[in-house]
Amino acid sequence: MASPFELLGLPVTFNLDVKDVDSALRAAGLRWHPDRFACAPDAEREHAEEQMAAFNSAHATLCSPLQRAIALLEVFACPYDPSGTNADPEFLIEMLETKEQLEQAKSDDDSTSLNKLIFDLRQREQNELAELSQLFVAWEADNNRTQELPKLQQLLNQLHYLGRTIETSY
Amino acid sequence: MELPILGQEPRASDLILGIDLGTTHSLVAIYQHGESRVLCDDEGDALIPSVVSFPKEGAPVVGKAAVERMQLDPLRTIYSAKRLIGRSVEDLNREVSTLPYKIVHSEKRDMAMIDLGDKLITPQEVSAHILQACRNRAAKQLNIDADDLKKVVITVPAYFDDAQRQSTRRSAALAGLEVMRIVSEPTAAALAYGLNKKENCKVVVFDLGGGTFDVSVLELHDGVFRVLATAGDTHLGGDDFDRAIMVHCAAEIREQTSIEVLADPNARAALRLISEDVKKKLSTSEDAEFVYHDASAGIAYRRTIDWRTFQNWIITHVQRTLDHCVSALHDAKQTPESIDEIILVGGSTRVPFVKAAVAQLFSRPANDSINPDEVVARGAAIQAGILGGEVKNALLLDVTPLSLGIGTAEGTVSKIINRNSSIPVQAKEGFTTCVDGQTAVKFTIVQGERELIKDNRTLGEFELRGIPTMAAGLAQIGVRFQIDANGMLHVFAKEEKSGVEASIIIEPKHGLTDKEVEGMLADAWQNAEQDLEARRVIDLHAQRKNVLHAVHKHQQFAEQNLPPELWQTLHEAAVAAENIDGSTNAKEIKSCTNELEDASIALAELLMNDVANNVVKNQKVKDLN
Repeated sequence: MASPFELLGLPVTFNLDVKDVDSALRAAGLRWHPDRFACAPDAEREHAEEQMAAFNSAHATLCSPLQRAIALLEVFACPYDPSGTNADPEFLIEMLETKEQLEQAKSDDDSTSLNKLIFDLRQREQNELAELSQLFVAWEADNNRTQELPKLQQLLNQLHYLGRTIETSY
Repeated sequence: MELPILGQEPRASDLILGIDLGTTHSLVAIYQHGESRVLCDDEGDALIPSVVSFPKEGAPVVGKAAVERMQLDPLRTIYSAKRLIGRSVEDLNREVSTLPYKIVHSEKRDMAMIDLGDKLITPQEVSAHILQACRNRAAKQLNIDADDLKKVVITVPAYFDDAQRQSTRRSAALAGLEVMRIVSEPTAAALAYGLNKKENCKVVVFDLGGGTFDVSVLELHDGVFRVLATAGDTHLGGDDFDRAIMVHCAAEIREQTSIEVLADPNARAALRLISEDVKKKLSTSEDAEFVYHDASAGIAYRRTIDWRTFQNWIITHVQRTLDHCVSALHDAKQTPESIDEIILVGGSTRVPFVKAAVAQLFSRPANDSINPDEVVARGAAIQAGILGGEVKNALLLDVTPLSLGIGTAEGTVSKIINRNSSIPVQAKEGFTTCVDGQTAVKFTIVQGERELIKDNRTLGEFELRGIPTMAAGLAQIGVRFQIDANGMLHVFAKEEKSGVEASIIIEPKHGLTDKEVEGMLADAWQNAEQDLEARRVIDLHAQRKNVLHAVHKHQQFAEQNLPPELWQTLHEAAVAAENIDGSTNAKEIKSCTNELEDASIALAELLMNDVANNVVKNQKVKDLN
C-alpha cells in the first residue's frame, strides 16, 4: 500500500508544511470526492468513496506530527515501537508528578492551577516537537538512518505520553 | 440577472430539490440559471410549518393549514417530529412532558411513536408528509408534474447521529424520494454564504434552530469548503426558550390557582403558542405581556416579562451553545481570534441575548446580514447544483460529528473512528472466533465520546454470519467500517483466509429497517403494524429455539461443571423457554429468550475456557455453535 506521503504526492520528509498537506487534500477532493460521481454508475461512486477515504486518512496522518513521524519511520522500515522501554526515567518521574498535580487540581476544582498545568504541558509538547523536527533533519540526512533512531523512538514515546496526558486532563 | 440559455435547461427528472427539513418549518429551493432560489407559496411565504395534522376523517393536512388545527385538535396535530426521529422514548423524557400529543414507546423498534388514539404513526411518516409538501410546492411553482421530481438533497443537523440520519433517509423513501445527499445544516449555510466569496477565510457557523444546535468551523479555500470541526446538541433550540417561558408561567398559574395547567393538552398547546409569541416580541421590544385566560377552569393569568427576566430563564441554554463553540474551536485547532467571520443561522439567533453572547465570545459582532431562515435551504440547492454538475469548482468536505466505537465485553468502548474525521472515512478491525467451528460473531457499535457503552448511542447489534468452519482463533474476519459522505455507516466483512464474504445483520436502534420501509410502502402505511408483529413473533421463536438447542446440546456438560445455583437458574430458564412454545406475545417470548441467554453466559464462558485459551468473553452460548 502506498504511504500517505505518496498518496498525496508529497515529499517523504518529516518537515512538511501543513498548508501543502491541506492543499493536496483539496486537489484530491476535487478529483475524487464521491460528489464528483453523483450521476456516475454505483461502482464508480463506490470506488471514489474508497479513494477519498484513503486520501482523508492520509491527510489526517500527515497533519499530526506524531502520526506523521510514525508513518515516516514505516516508509524506511524502522517501525515505531510504542512499548519501548527506553523512556527517560527523569521524564517518567516528572510525568507522574504532573499527573498527581492534575488530579489534585481537578479534585480541588482549581481551574487556575489546572489551566497552568495544561499550558505547561502544551509548552513542553511544543519544545519536544521542535526537537523532534531537528532530529528528523539529521536522521533523514544520514544514509543509514540509524544514528538518531533510539533518540527518535524515545522522543516519540514521550510525545505520545504527553499527548495522552493532555487529552485526558480536560 | 437571469439569462435564459436555450437548450441548457435540465430535464425536470434531473432536477434535484434542496430541502431544509426543519424542526419548526421547512423550505424547498432549487439551483437554476446560476443561482439558488427559495420557492414560495402563492402568498409569497417561503416557510412551510413542519406541522402535520391527521384528522379522524380524510387526508392528512400539512403546513399552514395544520397550524390552524393545532389548538382545535392538539392530540392529532404533530409538530417538532424532528425531535423524535431516530430516538427512543427514554431519550425524550424531557420533551414528552410538554408535547400535547401522545408519545408511546414501540418495543419492537425501540423507538418513539405517536399515538393518535385510533392508530400509531412513526415520526418518519410525519416527516414524509412534510417532504411531500415540499415536493408539491416545487411542482406547482415550477409547473412540473410532481412525479417527475424524485431527487432531493436534504439537510440535517450536523450533530445528527447515524440513527437520525438513517431515519431521515427513510422518511424520504416513504415519500417516494431518492436522497442524493444528506448535508449538514451549518455546512449548507456556509456554502450559501461563501459560494461567491473570492478570498480564502475561516468561518464559524452558529446555527440555533427550533430544536437543534450546531456549531461548525470551516475553512473556505478556492471553492473548497472544508469543515474542520463541528459540535452541537440535537436537543437544544428555540423550543427550549418557549418551554422556559411556558414552564415558569405554568408554575405561577399553579401557585395562584392550584391548577396543573400543563396536564391539559389543549391548555398546553395554547400556552406554547403564547410563549412563542412572547419570545418573538422580546426580540424587538424590552418587555412583553403573557396573557392566558380560561374561564371554564377559572384561570385569569397575566404578567409582564422583561428581557432581563427572559435572559435569566434561558441563560443556561445559551451558555451550553457557547460551551459547544469553545469545544469546536478546540477540535479545529482555532481560537476566536483566528476566525474571520461568524455566520448566524436559524430563527433562534434573532434573540438579542443569543447574538450578544456570541459577539462577546468572539469579541466582534456576528454576521446577520443573510436571512437566517433561508440560508440552509439555499445551501442545499447549491449542493444539488454541485451533484448535478451545474456548479463547477465547488466542493464540500465534511466531517463526522461523533466518534465511532466497538463495544467490548467489559462494557467499555474501543474507538475506531474519531469525531471530526473528514468523511468519507473508513477503519478496519479484525475479529476471530473463540470456539472450534464457530460460524457467527456478534458485536455492538456505538456513536459518542464516552468511555462506557451505556453512555453512548448504540447504533445496533451487528452479527457476522457464515464464517467458514475452522478451528478456534484461526478465522480472521476483517470488518470494514465506512462512514460515507452522508455521514452514514456501512459495514462490510470478509474472512481473510478463505476470502468468504460474511453477511452482516444489522438491527438498527430507534429506527426502521429498509425492509420495514418497504413493507410500509407496499401496504400504503396501513396494516404494516400487524404484519411486522407477526413476522417478529416468528423471528423471536426461531431465536428462542436456537438458544434452547444450544443449551440442550451442552446440558450434560453444564450439569457437571456449573456451580449448582447457576445450573439451577439455567435449568429453570430453559424449562420456561420450552413452555412458551406457541405463544404469540412477542414481549413474553423475547424476555424468556433473554433470560435464557443471560443464564447461559456462565456456561458459554466455561465452554470457551474448555476449548480455547484465546477467549473473547461474554459470548452467549448460541454463538458457539
